Amino acid sequence: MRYKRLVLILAGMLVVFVALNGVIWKSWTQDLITDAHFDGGDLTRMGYIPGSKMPRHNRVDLPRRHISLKEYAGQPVDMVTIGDSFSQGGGGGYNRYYQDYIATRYDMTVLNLDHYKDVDFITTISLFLNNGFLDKVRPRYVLIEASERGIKELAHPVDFSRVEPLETVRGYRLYPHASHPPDVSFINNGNFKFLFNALWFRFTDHGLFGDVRVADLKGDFFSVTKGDKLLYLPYKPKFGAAEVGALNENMNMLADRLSAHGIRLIYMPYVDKYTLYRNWLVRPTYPESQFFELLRPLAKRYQYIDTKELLREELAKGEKDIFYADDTHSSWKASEKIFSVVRFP
Amino acid sequence: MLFNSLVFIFAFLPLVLVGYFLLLHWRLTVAARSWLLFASLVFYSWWDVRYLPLILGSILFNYTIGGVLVEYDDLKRKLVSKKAIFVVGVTANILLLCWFKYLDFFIGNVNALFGTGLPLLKIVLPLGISFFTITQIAFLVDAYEGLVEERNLLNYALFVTFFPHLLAGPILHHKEMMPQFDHLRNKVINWKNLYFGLALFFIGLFKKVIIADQFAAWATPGFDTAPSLTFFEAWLASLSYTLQLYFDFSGYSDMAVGIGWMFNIRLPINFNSPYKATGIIDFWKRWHMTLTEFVTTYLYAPILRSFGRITFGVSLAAIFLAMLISGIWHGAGWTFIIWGGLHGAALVINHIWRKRKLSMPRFLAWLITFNFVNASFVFFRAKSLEGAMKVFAGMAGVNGVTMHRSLKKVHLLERLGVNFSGSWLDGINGNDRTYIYALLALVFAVTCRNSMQAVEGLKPDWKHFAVLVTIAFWGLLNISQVSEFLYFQF
Amino acid sequence: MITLEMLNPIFRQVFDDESIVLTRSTTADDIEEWDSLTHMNLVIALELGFKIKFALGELQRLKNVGEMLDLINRKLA
Repeated sequence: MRYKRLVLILAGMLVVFVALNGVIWKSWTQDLITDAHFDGGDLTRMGYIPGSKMPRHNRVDLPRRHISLKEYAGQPVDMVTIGDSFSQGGGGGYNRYYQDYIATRYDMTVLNLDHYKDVDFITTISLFLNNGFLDKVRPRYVLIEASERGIKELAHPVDFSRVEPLETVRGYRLYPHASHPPDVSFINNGNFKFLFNALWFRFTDHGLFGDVRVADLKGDFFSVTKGDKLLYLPYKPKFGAAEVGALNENMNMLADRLSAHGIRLIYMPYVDKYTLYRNWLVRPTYPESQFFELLRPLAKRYQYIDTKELLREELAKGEKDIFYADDTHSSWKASEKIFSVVRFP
Repeated sequence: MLFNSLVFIFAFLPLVLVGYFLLLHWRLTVAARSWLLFASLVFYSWWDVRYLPLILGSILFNYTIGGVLVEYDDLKRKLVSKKAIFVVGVTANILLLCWFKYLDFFIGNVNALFGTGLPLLKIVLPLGISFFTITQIAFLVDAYEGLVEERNLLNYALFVTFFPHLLAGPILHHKEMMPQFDHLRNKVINWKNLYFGLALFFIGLFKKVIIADQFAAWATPGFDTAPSLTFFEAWLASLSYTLQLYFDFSGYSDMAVGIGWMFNIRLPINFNSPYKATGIIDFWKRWHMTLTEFVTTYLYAPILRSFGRITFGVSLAAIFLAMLISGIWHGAGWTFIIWGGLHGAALVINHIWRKRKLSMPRFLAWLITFNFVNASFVFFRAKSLEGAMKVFAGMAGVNGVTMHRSLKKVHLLERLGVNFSGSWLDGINGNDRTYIYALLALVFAVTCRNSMQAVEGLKPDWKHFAVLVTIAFWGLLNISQVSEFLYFQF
Repeated sequence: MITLEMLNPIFRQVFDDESIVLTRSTTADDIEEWDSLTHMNLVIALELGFKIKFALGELQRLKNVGEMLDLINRKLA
């Protein structure tokens, strides 16, 4: 009879297990880990953190929009842009492309190039210059956007003489920016991780699973339930003055080559979420990246957009939701701010 | 339907179990058998109902032929010889398998050989066809040779389709199954069997979901997507697959046997710690044991008989031939033929070695055996010969040896020509866990008790129960996984 | 009528062991070389030696010399 008891207890536990999974799924995790309800929100998903979610759907209402390389059909172009996920509408939601603000504000045709997996942006632009593509497109500006985290890639020596035919370059493997969350059943290990992370976050700044950290802000910087919490991925700046100098030199060299073709280079390094908000943290745990401070004084033969300075002005004014509370990316507000200030001569 | 799916575990299995024992409780044995058959057919057609007529047709055909063979000697008018009926029956089965499994392979080879451009038919392989074909061929052979006495369509259909073994074995013999279905009367619910069955099922689930799937995440990119592999990438890719295959297949077999126990049906055991083998003969006594038995009985013996004399040389030739055929049975492709041939050759060498009464230190014997098996599985896994060669090239160091950059400080390594990189295992999506887990799993497979032995030691106490519950929930939670990766990367 | 003495030489030849002395209770466990594969060699050698034919399906279960002897004699009867 002992076996009967054990089987029945096990069966009972399985029933409770299913029910518990169902409750957690319906109450929290379905919202957090699937894109059933909104686009974006990587940090709430990776940390299983409710309360910072910003429900949103991709929507664009700016009258003029940028075009992608795939859509390009030979029309005249004013500006070519290239960059990481910030250039691919990374945060999702309302007016997610900063390129659309450029197109609308300055009445320009903006062409966004692809991000290739094993080629840095400077090399990509150099390749498009050397194979004659830029001469055909004839833009007045080339804008390179790159997150502060990706500095090292742009500081490596660049082979500006490298030539590849257009078809070869366009055939490179794309950097896998967007991939979709897998289909998960309502019984999944996310429910379990959710429970444990909820427990861990009570006592630490990180969860048991995932890399997401949570820090207290000095005020409500986000229009969500937990508006004074900063969700971020820890970031160890692994560069010094030498790397920033090398990067600046690469940019200058590219700028010279572009200007020989009548094109002006614009470099927009994108400030990291933690770097941006650090001044407003109650207890700043990690040191602040000095990338922008190191780059500012260097001699530049290209136009430089200081996103850290511009966006900090907004934070100082108490503006909310410059970055998404639940994501590593900035929102439309940041794009609007940057391109209402910047001038393209 | 898969055993490792939530709908199977939480809906299908409980429903079938409850229905089965209720019907038995009411002494409705025919209804209970029919219920199992119906459930098995639902299980079979869950993903694709198109092949249901195929399996039903195959069952009816073989049952009819089998019946004619059994009753042949009592027939008054014998229009055709018994042998002719038998040959037609077996040939029909082989042709069916060839049509679905080998036709495209054959067309591809014809195209390559004669430069023709015949279109491939892109036939989808019906689930379980390899298994239900050979079990039924064995049935026809036994019917022809007068070993089939019991005739009951329901028992026969249930023997072929019984869902625990239908898709991937263990390979059953009608002699051991049909009597069990016939004696369902005595088989009211047995809590001990149910408990042990559940334990074995959840151990199998754990092996599949937690262990095998983890190694698959490294083997798959290594074999399928990486254009070339460095030394450690290649070795870890092949090792990952060898571990994946064992934990996946033996986990599946555990689940099958466990489900059988829940229904008070004994299914044969399929694995007995194969990676502990110290010889290739030993390996095949431990790996896919029901297949080995089938191959020895229905392939090796008739081949041997057809030679008409028994010498050592003849038996070696028969072994090689049987393994070659077994290789082809595993899959349509030259990689499988080579795999079968390699194992045939290794068995031949092992037999010669044994005949000469040569010996070898135990550890060395294990090392050679395991490495042979590991290398042979490269052919088994690779999608093409080039794919296999890619992995072998990496294992031979053709693409150099790359180690983690933290080892750069060891100057000896640098002088030996080792490269260093932070992304030294990127080709297999690997990281430090890859070699640690591979080592742990290997040590586990070689030194620890296997699941069957573990279940034998199961006692109805709370300590064992706690372990069982942990394993069960761990496996169940991970059937559907979420990971903390950035889907939208920088 | 086949006797143990008549089986003995066939066993010695198949298992390559001159020291084998059969009794009715000899099983596969008693002869080191007797595994599932050499078992087939043995059975086919018996078929050829006594001009009988076993059914493939009954081969695996014949692991005891007494049963084997009885089956052979039944086939010859």
